Amino acid sequence: MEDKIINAEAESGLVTFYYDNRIVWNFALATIIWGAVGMLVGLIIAIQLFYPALNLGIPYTTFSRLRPLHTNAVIFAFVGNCIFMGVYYSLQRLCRARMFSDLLSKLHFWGWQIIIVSAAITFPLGITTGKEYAELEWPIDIAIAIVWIIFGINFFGTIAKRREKHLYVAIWFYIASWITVTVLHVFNSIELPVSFLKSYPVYAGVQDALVQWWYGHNAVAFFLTTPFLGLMYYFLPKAAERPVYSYKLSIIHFWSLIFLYIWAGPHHLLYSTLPDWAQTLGMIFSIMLIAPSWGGMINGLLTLRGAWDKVRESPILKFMVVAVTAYGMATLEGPALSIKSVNALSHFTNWTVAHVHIGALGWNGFLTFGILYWLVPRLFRTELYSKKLANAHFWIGFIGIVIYAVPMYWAGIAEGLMWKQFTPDGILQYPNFLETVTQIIPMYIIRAVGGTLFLTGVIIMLYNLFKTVKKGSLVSNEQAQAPAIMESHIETTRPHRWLESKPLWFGLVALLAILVGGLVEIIPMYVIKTNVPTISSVKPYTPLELEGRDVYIAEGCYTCHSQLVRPFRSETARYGEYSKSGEYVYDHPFQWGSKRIGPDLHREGGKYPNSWHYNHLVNPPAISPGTIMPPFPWLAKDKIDIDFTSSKIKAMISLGVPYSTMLLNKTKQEYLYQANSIVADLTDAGIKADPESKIIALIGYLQRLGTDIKGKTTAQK
Amino acid sequence: MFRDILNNVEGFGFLIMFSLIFFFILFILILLWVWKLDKGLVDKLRNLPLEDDLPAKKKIVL
Ligand code: HEM
Ligand code: HEM
Repeated sequence: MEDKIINAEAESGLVTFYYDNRIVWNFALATIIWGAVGMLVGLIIAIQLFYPALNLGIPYTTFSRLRPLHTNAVIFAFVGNCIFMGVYYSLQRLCRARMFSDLLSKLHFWGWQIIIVSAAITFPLGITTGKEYAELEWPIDIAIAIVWIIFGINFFGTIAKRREKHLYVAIWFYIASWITVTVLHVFNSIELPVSFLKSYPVYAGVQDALVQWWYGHNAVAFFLTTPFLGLMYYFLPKAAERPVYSYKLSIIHFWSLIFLYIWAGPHHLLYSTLPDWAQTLGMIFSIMLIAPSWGGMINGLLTLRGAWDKVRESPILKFMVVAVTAYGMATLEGPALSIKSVNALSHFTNWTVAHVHIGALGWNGFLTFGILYWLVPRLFRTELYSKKLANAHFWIGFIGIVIYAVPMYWAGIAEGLMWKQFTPDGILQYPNFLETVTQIIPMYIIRAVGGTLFLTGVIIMLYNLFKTVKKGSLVSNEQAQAPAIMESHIETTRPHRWLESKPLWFGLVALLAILVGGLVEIIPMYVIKTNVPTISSVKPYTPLELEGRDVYIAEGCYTCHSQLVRPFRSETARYGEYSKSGEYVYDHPFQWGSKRIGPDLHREGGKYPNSWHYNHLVNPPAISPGTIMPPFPWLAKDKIDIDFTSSKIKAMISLGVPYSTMLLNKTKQEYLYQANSIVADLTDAGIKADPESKIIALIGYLQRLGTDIKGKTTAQK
Repeated sequence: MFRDILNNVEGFGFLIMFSLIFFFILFILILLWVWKLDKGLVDKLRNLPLEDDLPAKKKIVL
């Protein structure tokens, strides 16, 4: 029977096969649900920035633990599932083949969802590596690698069995994204486990920072951008029913974008202790990025030339037009933020948050919505339930973006200027950081209104798509026919052999293109000593301080506080001596932070008495009226597992931190000795504290910060 | 302005020069390649997403 069909097909030259739509629908559903959850968490933390009590007084829902949950949920769950949805739909059709393996598709889908759930559990529990966008701990990192490889096999397997010999440009973007994310994830996640859910990165300080932002920037580039460009090049022509404006431009867009992007990481580290040459490289390449990015935007918008009447009609096209325009705005602003003098003002402020959400809400959010409205009715062979509701979603979402972004720009520029403002007498105009915080609270409130609108739009979409799905029925396996070109010709002619090997060849070139940038920037940091000048007075943390540092990481203090005093007069006047790379050599991981919701802490040691820190951590408003820092009362009750501390020291030794092995035998004594001296000091101030509590360790760490070189003239050699 | 930037980076300026020249050459190569691409092929590629849900035509392969 099968043979007969095949024979009949062979005669007509066509094969019949089925596209797997169920897997596309699964990913679509996950996109919608995780999108709503991730944005709800975003809204909760947005409200906590003016109403900290929304954490209900419990650790699990506190801003600093939920913020990584928000970023990971929207990036890897919302955007991630959308990428997979779009890839599984478009790849099958562009290759005219079913996915390589249904089993791998399922493993990919469920594996990814389990990873998301484990993120949603571990972050509130304070299980984190403390590296932005790579916060998941090592067992989950391994799971990500496995699922990613499964996706890769399924993806390249489909390409290998394709019936269309040419690869459309969207597939190029997918291939480059897959390769680059693989490289980034592996290199940034090299860490030494100390227990089932705790690890230390092998890199320290400025090197860790460079690898982290090489990763972090390219998480933006190769997760939020290049796969979405692939989706744009497929779904925009589909929705507009006309081909992309210029295919040649898309090729130039592709190659220059992936080549340039990989160099741009250091623009997150401007005026840090990263050597100047690396900062300059990051800056130059970021500025050059504007060209391919705008090439891509123009290509997208011009695809709609002569079809603007359709845009007025169709909510789908409206979403897509705003998405592409937002991409253009974010990629115009990004290069501007990469100019050192602009970054001097914008870095650490809400300006970055505004930039992020123009990209995230406008580009990623709106493109996703456009694709969903186009795709879901097709998967269910029906019409969209309500075009009116989709239009309403568009306008509510659009106004939401504006009301989100405008106050954040305002707040960002205002706080940036206030931090730098001197009086005519040459002293800081706002010496109390808190003043700059309370000034922008109205902006936080307005932003939350914008977020509420945006989320309302998503809920409207949820309802609309739910009704659509109810109307139709899922075409799980969609029949298609295509000529079987690959099978019949591969073996025979040489040119075809070459073409068939093209994806591989192509992948290699793409890999080379992205490796050059990484290698040129990262290798000199390791092999050339002068890039990290050592400072003889900088010593490893004591056992107590090391544990305190881990509390700092687990609570997510880095989400609001930086540890990097930049070499500006305004910063040295406020915080003290500017930071040197030699100070961070034992910091696994580095904790520079990227946002100053609160003040910098790199020179915190010795600034206040222990009792100040104790009271401040337990109830910040009692010490700083009007502050928005959440209280951390549980730190006074929760205990450190001191018996485990020596394992951490041992791990540090194997990472090259020069502890004496003697310390391993008396870790606990040393720990308690230092803890008891803090407790005694607190007792004098009328505070009763447990030496084994987390708060004592954290105070020990805070009092150590920056003291290695404090008061000494720069001991750099 | 470029000279100022480059002077600022003691000893590692060559890395920047190398990277820029490398990119420049690559970019020129891409431009040449794209310029020489066959028009018919480009047209076919451009239309790929629009054809994929049409009933398949029998294609003549080499
Ligand atoms: C209802 C929608 C949303 C709301 C209310 C919201 C709110 C927030 C808030 C309050 C923060 C913390 C800002 C700070 O630390 O000062 C944040 C950070 C962030 N959000 Fe959202 N968000 C939303 C949607 C999204 C979406 C859809 C994405 C991505 C696709 C996204 C990506 C991010 C990223 C990457 C950060 C970290 C920014 C940084 O480190 O500078 N957000 N968001
Ligand atoms: C040409 C393109 C772009 C360039 C050159 C660029 C550049 C920058 C710069 C300079 C920063 C601020 C770094 C700092 O001061 O801390 C930044 C932050 C950020 N950008 Fe962009 N950007 C571009 C496009 C985009 C797009 C399209 C998106 C989103 C879809 C995006 C998402 C982000 C995120 C999430 C951050 C926050 C990182 C953090 O600090 O946690 N960017 N970008």
